[in-house]
Amino acid sequence: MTNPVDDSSTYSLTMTPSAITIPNSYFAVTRADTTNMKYTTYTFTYRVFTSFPANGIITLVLPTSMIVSSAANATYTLSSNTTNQTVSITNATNSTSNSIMLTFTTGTLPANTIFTIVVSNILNYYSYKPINIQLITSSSDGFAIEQSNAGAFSLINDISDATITASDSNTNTMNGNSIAYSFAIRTPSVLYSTDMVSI
Amino acid sequence: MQTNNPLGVGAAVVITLPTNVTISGGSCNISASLSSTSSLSSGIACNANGQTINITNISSTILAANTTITLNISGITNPAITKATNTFSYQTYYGTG
Repeated sequence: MTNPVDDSSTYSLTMTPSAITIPNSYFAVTRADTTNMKYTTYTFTYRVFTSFPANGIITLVLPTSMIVSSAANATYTLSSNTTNQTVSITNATNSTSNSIMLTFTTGTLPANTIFTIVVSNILNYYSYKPINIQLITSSSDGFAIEQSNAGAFSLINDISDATITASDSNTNTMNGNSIAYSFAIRTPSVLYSTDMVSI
Repeated sequence: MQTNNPLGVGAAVVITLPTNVTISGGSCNISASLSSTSSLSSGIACNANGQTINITNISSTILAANTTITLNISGITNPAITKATNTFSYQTYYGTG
C-alpha cells in the first residue's frame, strides 16, 4: 500500500508490560531457627515459571526489621547444576521493606529450573505477627520479569516465652474484697510502641 | 485511533510493532468497531508479516474525518521484561491500495 492518509508520527505510542505473577507454589521459604529476634539461615526455593535471563537478578523483599547481618553470605544450587555456588548479595533497606538483591552469573535458564538459595544471618522478625516475603526476578539491567504474589508467602515465628509473675499487694485475700495485683513481665525482646500486653 | 481525514470504502490500516513485541505471521484474529457503526465492513481482514500488521477492508462506506477506529487484535506477545517498548506506529490508507 502507498500514500497513507494519516499516520501516528505525531504520537509516541509505547507500552510497558507488567511482571508475571508466578503461582504460589513456585516460591517457598524455610529457616533453621524460628525464634523471634534470632539471626538464622534462610533457604529460598524458587521454580522458574517462564524463563530466567542470563546474569539475572533475584530480589527478596522482607519486612524492614528483618535486617541482614554484614556477615551474611549467599549460596545457591540449581536443579540443573547441584554444585553449590556463591552469589553476590547486596542489601537495601527503606521505610517499608528490606530488599536482598542476588546477582547471578548464569546463562538463560528455562521454565521449571529450581533455584535453592541459602542466605545466612538474616534476623527473624521481632514478634509472632505473620510476615510476608516476596520474590522478584529481573533482567541484568534491572527490569522485572516474574514476581511472587506479595501476600502469598508468610512466616510466623515461635516467639520465646515471656516470664510473668503476679502478686497481690494486699494481705487481705478474703473473697469479695477489692485488692490490687502487681504483674511483672520480662519480655523476650524489645517492645515497640505499637505492641500490646495481654494478661 | 481517530482519523484526521476521510477514508474510503475498503479503508486499510497498517500497524508496525516494536521489535520486542511479536505476532505470528499469517492471518490474525481481529474484531473492530467504528464510531459510525453502520460503516463497519463485514469483510474486514487481518494479516501479519514480521512486525507489520495489515488490516484491510475496514469500511463499507466512506468514513468521515474524526471517525474513531477501534481494532482488537489477539495473539500479540508482550516483551519478556518490564521495560518500555519502542514506539508502535500506524498509517491509514484511503482504500485497498
